[in-house]
Amino acid sequence: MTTNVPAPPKAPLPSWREKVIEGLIWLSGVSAVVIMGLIFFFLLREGLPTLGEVAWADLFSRRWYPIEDLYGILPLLAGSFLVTVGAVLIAVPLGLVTAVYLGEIAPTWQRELLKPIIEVLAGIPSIVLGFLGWVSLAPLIQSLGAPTGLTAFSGSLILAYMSLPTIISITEDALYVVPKEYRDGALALGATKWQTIWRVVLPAARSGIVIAIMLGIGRAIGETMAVMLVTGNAANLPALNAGIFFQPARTLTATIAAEMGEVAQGSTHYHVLFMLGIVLFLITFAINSLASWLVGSGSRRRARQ
Amino acid sequence: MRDKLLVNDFSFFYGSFQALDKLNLPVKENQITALIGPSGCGKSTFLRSINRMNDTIAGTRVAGEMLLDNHDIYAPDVDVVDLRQRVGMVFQKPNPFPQSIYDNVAFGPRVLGMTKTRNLDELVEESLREVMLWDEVKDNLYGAAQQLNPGQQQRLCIARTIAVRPEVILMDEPCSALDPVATLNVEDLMRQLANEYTIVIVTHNMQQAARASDWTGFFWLGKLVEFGETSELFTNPKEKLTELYITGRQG
Repeated sequence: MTTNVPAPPKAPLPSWREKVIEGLIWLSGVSAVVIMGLIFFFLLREGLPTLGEVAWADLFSRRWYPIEDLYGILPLLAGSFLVTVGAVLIAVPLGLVTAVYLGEIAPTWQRELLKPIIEVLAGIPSIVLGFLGWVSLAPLIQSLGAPTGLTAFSGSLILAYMSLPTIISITEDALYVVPKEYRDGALALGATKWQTIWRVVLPAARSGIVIAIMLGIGRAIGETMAVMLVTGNAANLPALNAGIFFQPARTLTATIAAEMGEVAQGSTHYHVLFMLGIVLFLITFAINSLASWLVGSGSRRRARQ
Repeated sequence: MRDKLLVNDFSFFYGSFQALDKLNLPVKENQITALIGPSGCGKSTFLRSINRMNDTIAGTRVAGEMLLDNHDIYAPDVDVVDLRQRVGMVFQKPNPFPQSIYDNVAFGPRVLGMTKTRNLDELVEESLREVMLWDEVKDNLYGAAQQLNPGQQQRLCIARTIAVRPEVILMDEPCSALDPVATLNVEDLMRQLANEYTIVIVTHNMQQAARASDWTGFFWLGKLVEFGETSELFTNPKEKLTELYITGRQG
């Protein structure tokens, strides 16, 4: 008896339901880009008039004193730079070492205890940290000899604390995905545990670690409330001496937050504050691009070989 | 023919589970010893006991002795790092580091401090020549090791292992991830290497054991059922279980 084998089914056309879903997904994706574009456009619209109202030389002068029409952003750039660099110098070594400890050395029970604690610490609101810094950390630094406890260093400490969970988490994930085969191979050749971590695991996790550091830096640069409370908010170019970190400073972010409430809309001061926003935007963009390039070049180099 | 390794009543436990039961066998110097048996019978566990790679697993325990040149490698005064320089291992899936070919081969000598007494470039070249990979890679030593094909990668892993000048080389199913041509290359290489090193190979492939080894041990559920010269074991096995296994009627 012959059987009628049915013809193979044609590829089903998307029903209208599928089209709606695809459309919604497309819309979400596009709207993210559109919103970003709109934000940037708004920033440009409010900030670019600065270039007509304040001369370039004045913008890059060394005094920020809006009341007297002095809009030199160098002290603010220096403030952001100092605070961020300080935070990175503290948080990156500490974060990497902690991640290595958690990922490679700690026994399971310690890891299971410490990881959730770190995640919880990441959730403390920044204003709370800033307040704690103002109330406890600053007096402590002052008692150690600084003229005031509200310094760039205090800001760096708080920011380091805030960046740590990010750096630790992402680095630990990067270490986790390094295949066991590499570790086994190294151990079988007679490497000690440390040699294995230092010469095989860390290099293999390099791109993940770079991302962790970049994201940590991004967090530090964009932080506003915590630094406002502890850095002293003195918009002065810090003196280039050994105590450079122990002077009050003011960041770009704190400036925008502190002064935006007091400006007349459309005034020069108003435009300059938006210009600061553009500068922040560009710095963050540059850092992210650098991170992408560093990670990308690593894999391009590997692919080329 | 000297016993390079002598195993006396050796047992191994993963926690409360006994994986190896009072094994007794010799591993002859400069010979190829093959370990065969079905999956899960303890061959790999046994192999990993010889260079104490099982130490990295928590909750493991041994009983009995494993003598390398008449010293028990599980004695408390034994330096595991030193042991692993003397007893190298090649894994089932080639596992070169994500580094250059040169750095892979140089890894062992560097971590063991051999660079103080030997020229690294020479050592790398010698090792690559021994595995017959030198001509294929000499123009690309700083290229990525992971760009090589699996057969070359496995030979690179062997080069990496011999760069530290071991005495024994353990091979855990080294050809199972390779195509037949690469497999033959590695088997020929083993024969060459046996002139200088003692080789222990775990294999699922009985034909490989029959053609490439001098001695064979047959494992079944954690016990060593039979051990003898390869030609004898495959043509005239003493144990019934051995015969059933090699004729494919069991396991």
